Amino acid sequence: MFCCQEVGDSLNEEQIAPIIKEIKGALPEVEEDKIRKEIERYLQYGIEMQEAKRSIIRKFGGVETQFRSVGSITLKEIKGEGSNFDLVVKCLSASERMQKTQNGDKMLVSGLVADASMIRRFVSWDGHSLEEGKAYKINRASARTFRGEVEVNLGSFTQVEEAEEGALSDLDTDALPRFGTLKEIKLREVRPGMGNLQIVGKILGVEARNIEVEGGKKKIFDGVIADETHRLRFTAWHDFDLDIDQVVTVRGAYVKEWRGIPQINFDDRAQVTREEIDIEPVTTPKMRAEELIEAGASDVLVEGTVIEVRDGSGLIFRCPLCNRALMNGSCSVHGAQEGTADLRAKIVLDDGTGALFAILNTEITEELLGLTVSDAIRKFQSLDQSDMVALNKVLLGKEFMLRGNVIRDDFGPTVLPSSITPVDMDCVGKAREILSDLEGF
Amino acid sequence: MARIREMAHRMFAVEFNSSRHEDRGLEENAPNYIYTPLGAHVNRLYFIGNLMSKTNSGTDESPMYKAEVRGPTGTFYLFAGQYQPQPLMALAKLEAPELVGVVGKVRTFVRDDGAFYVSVKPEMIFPVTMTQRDMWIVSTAETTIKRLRAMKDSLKMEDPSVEELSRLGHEPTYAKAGVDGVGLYGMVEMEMYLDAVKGALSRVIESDGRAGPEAIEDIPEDTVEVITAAKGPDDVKERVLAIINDLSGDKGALYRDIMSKCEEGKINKIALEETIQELLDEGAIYEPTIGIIKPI
Repeated sequence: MFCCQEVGDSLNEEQIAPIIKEIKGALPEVEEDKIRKEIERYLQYGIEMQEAKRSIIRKFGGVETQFRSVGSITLKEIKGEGSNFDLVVKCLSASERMQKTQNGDKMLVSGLVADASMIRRFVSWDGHSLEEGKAYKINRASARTFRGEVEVNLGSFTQVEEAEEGALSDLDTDALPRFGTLKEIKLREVRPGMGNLQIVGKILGVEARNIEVEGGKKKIFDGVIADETHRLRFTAWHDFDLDIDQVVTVRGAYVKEWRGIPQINFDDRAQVTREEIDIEPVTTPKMRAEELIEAGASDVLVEGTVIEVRDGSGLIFRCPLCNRALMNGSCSVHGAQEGTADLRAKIVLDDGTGALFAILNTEITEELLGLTVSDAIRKFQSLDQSDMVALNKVLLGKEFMLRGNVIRDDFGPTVLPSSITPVDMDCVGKAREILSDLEGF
Repeated sequence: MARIREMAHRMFAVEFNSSRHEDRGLEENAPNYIYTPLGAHVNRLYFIGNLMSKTNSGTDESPMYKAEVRGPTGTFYLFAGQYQPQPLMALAKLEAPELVGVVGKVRTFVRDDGAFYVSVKPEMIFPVTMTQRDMWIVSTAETTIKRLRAMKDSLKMEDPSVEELSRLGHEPTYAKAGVDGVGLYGMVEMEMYLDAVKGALSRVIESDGRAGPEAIEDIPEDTVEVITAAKGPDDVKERVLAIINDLSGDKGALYRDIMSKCEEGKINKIALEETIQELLDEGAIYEPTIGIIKPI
């Protein structure tokens, strides 16, 4: 039997004693020696102290609420993933919603809380309900970062009680900063997952739409917003009285994505103001591959060299039931099928800043080859010529401008062009220009 | 996230062939990169030149082609084996000389004596027109000049940083290249690259109005940098090691500091590079991060 194993050199008796005492506080019936051994074991596995404490308490059936908090802090002092802090806050808004979880439906309460330092969003996960206008003393809350903002979380260990009479009664909420710092950003720099943005743009179109939400119908507003750099779809989850041609500033927008294309979202927590200035919105922005690797885009131009025509290009046969391309006469879902002939090209377009995949549709491929699908069947099936050779010849090493949507997944961006044009360059003129710029380098 | 496809750098042979540093990455299956003297971090490249020769050193059943593609600033060396089916087929058909476009990956080779060689493992080889060549030269010149400009500013800085270079207006990729290039190669002789760019652009202007592929480009052999590596005498090695020990603090010594000290001691750049390589091979020193040398 070995006993009293040394804990690495990271902890000495002086450091470990208070920790044992702390855990003992939550587990009065467990012997100190046992606790000490547990701590040593956890630490040997490289588990972080806070986490080890929590696990040990749970392991012996203790209740974590008896666990010591880090003390009182202000909303502004909360860091990204902190836990076990105490707050005194005033609830500015609260609303309930049902959330589907693994263990069935759960009622969440979310809204805004404020103290003298700032306003933050909160979410209550375990039944703590805050009432608008009231002040609360909250013990052992935690924080998480959601859509780029720090949020207060109230969980099962959290204790909530009404604050003393008069607490935070003279809070001037209008003067307080909203959660986080707004990030001013041009639409071209918007990336999926960003939050708390401040954008200025012109509404190019807006349309109301009714959707089903928990507890009935809701009217939301879809549209397109543009500045001089880019154009993005947006969804407003609240009626801000938006209208076409208005120039607005949105404070507190966040970004969702659809197939890798960022979309601006804002709800009643955002602030929307009309601006007197006018904005000349970009028409069809030309984008570099390095930008599209970070975020897809709709209706943009890309220019580059075709450096590869990939397998699965040329004359293909599609499943009549699902339109998937057949492999050796067989659909991956519907088995052997007769197949409908089609032409397409899957290419790699590289602009020197990054690589883009592109899928050229029937019309574009027909035009490039100068063949219709039925011509292609005759030529590539009966005459036994290679469709790949023909495509390579018209595409490889050639420079093209593509216009269309760029979606993005784990493998990078894919352009789905609606049109493509060969790029012409005045090489001699350009060469002269560069040479003259080089004078005095 | 899956690994995103590597982009194809447009690069002149003179810059590619002068590369002396590689980055093999730490993760499993990490792609292999080289750092060029102008700081480009290259895994895949795209170039156009004249196919000058092709030799099949394998058999007809399992061919292994070695090919030379001469561009306006030097020659790219290609090796294509059974895992490069498209290039093998293309090379079997093409007859030198022929203007071709090549997409390929970096391949490195370090000889026993420490000499560092780069070549290209082609992925695609295809015939191209003069217009395509001219367009390639123009865009390659543009990107090379951006690297040269970043390098120029980086060399002026006491402690070059991406932030500082970005502030001067260099795009992030080029700012990073400027920092990496100076960190790894120290005083880069930019003249050579600048002249190469100018020469290539002049060819575009000269070729104006000419239709079909031009005849083989006559490049004086001496512009094609020949990689030679004479073994540094042992006393050079000892002196270099002494300099490294001297400069090395807790974090090691900066490569460019070592270089400037060596310059004072009349040890030339090439000798230094080779000596450093030897010392690395012997395990007398190591490179904890790129651009920093530390004695063991």
